[in-house]
Amino acid sequence: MNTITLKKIVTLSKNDLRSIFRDKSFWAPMLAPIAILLLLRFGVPQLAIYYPEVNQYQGLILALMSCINAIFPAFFVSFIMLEEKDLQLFSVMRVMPLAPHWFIIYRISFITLMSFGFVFGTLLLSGLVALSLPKILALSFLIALMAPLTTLIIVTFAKNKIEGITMLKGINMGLALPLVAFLVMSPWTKLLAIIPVYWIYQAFDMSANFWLNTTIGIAYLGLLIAVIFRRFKNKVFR
Amino acid sequence: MILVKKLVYTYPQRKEATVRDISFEMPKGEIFGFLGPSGAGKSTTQKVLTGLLRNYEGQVMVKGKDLKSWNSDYYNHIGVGFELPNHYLKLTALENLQLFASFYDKPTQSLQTWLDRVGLWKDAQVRVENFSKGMKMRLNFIRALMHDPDIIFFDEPTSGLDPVNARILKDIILEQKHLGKTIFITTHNMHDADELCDQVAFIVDGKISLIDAPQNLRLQSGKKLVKVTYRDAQLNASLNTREYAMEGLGNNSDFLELLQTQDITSIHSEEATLEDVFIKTTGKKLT
Repeated sequence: MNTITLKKIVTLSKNDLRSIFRDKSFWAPMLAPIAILLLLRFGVPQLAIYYPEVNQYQGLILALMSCINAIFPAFFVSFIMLEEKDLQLFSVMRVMPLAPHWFIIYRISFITLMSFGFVFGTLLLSGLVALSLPKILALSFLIALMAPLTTLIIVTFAKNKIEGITMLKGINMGLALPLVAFLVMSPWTKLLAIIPVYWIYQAFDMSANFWLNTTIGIAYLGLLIAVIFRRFKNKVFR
Repeated sequence: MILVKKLVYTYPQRKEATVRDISFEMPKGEIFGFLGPSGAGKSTTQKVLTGLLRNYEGQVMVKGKDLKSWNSDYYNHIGVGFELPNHYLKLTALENLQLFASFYDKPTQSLQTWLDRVGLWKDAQVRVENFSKGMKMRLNFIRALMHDPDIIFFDEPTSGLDPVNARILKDIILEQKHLGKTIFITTHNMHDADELCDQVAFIVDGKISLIDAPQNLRLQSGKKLVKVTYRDAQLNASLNTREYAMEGLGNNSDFLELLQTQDITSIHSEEATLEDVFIKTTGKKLT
């Protein structure tokens, strides 16, 4: 990466962060990941004192909350990008001397990195599940991929911010759906594997093969991101 | 500077072409106006020339090179002023310009000077969400020029501006022309086109019906007459009008006598307006 590219990335990131911090509607959601982390760190152990059965689900609780924390950056960036779409700022980006799709790749990287930080912090500081550093890093990357996927889905298919919020709510509700596979004993629950977050829960299943499930999860999420990215590029960023 | 040959563009999922077999040439250092009603194909043509629409038929040469063989470096050479203001609303005017300036390979011209010239320097630190449409349009205008491009595209550059600011922008456009820049303007404002353009093309239903200098068009389509309005002292100073042929006007005794004996209020030559020429040529009004 040369100095000019680095300068462009720094300027864009600085302005993306300005846009996020200056939007009052983002102030409360910005504190939510910290609240979730505090809940995991102090709330869940307290709950386990009164309801010891909670202990066997701590991995799944951590997985679900990490996914929710991963989605917050997607919420911020989706709304910035919906505004860009609405104001036709993508056309402005396309008449700038940037390599093709440089801007979208930057955005996907920006959001993945931001989300990675949120998830890494959650996994490292929650104190619920003892994980080695390589596993924390691998899981953080896997879960962080939920952010670009969510952002691309919202920006590609939502026509405005109202539709964006509705989609985000739907995605958030869908995060818990694959948990059924751990609560109901039926071969049909394997069908839940088409939901990307299923592979995240599988990676938290200590009785299963961590590296296999994590690799499948990363590959599957990567494939979905590639498919939606293509649609976004052809239908929105054109 | 720009050569367009048999350009055809059809939007995906549409059967009929929006731009149909148009050809024109824009010499270096001239202002070329693309005039037509809404939906005529003006903006589509501009989008093709700025590389926003691809998959066109025909040939477009820019600076001696086929448009399809230009890479992203093309955008170091051109500036694009969009019809609608498009800025990051949470960023200030200066932050917006600095952001886009950072994408160019060479340093841009002084942003303070540009903001000052269009009357926005005092608002440089104000977030764009608090700007009026006219202020946003002026910011659009700077973004198209700040990197000193050789070719500039403007889509309705004075839209939404008050007369004073429209005058400032038009003066800058003329100044850019004198600096040797090639400028492409799409508009349905005939006054702007008449004032700014060296050549205008009339486009209706995706086809160019005429290309010429505005002055030629006005003279060719006008009547070679002079209309004189005067106050007649014998008829209670009421206003009267007489028309005289231009030919032999200096020896027309009736005309000369009128000038010497009456209180003349106005003298106008009867050349057509650009709008008259447009309606006569295309049979359509500009809306």
